[in-house]
Amino acid sequence: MKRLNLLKTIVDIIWYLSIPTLFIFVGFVLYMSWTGQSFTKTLYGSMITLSGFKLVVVLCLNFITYGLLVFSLFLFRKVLQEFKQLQLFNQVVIALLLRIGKLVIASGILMFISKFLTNYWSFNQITLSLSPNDLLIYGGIGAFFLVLSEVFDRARLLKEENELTV
Amino acid sequence: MKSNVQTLQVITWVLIISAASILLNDINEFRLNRFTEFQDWAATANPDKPISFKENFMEWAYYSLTVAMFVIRGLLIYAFTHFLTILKEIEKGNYYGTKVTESFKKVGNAFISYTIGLVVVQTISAFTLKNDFTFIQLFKTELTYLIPAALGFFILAELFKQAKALKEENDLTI
Repeated sequence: MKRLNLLKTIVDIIWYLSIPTLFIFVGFVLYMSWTGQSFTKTLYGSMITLSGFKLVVVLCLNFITYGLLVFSLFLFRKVLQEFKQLQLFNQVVIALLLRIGKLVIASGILMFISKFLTNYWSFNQITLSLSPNDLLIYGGIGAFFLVLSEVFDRARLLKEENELTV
Repeated sequence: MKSNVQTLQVITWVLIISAASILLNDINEFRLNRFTEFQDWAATANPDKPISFKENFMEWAYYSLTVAMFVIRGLLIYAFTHFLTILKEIEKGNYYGTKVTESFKKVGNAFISYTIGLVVVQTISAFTLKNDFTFIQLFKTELTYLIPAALGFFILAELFKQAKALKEENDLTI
């Protein structure tokens, strides 16, 4: 229970810090699309500059990715809340874990597309690598949540069967 | 279920192989640099002068901290191998076995040890080698992800233990 409380506190802190960042992000996307300014950042060790439609597309993709991750964090808080109430193997937890898994995988795919487009528009080249990238890491985390939801589903069945027997 | 577990196994293997290859490459590079430094020292060293630890303190500190970093990075690979054990057990259908619970605990412990080790080594290197070290920088990466992940694994170990008890009760009833 101590660990659960500690994890809940950490997740709460990250959640409360990520909400203002989300609003700042919205403001930034709107400002950049309104003024049409160019944006420069370092990618793969080189300075890249994006502007106009390309910049808006990349920023929107990044915003959606960030939004999905923040939403999955919100759902994870709900899961921890259920655990705190000792509701371990119920339908709510299973559905939440399944949704978190799907959201994290979706954010990984969007992050990959965003980086791919940035790379393509900046250097006019298509690169693919098998090294640990966002798609692999977020895909892994998402798949782990999917597996957890299935294992929890089996535990729920066991629990229900047990309760029926009693 | 099986397809998700298999996908996760492939991803974990990729992570283990890439982490191990990066670590081996860094160790090899360190070894080569050390050999070059030794050759330079051998060319100019005075054989009559005894080796003083005090004079070479910075060098010793650098070597010790680099080796410590290699060990700490090895902890992450150790954690991933135990994660692979969990996946193998789940694939076999032993969802709530003792091996799974133990492996969850081991992964959690490895993550905690990695983070603590990293903070200690970086703090020492900041004081002795005057390296740049900002706690916020570390907080953003390792502490944000690995400490909650470790806590999550500990909680999962507890939950799987409870599920195991349910299963045993169920088996007894039948």
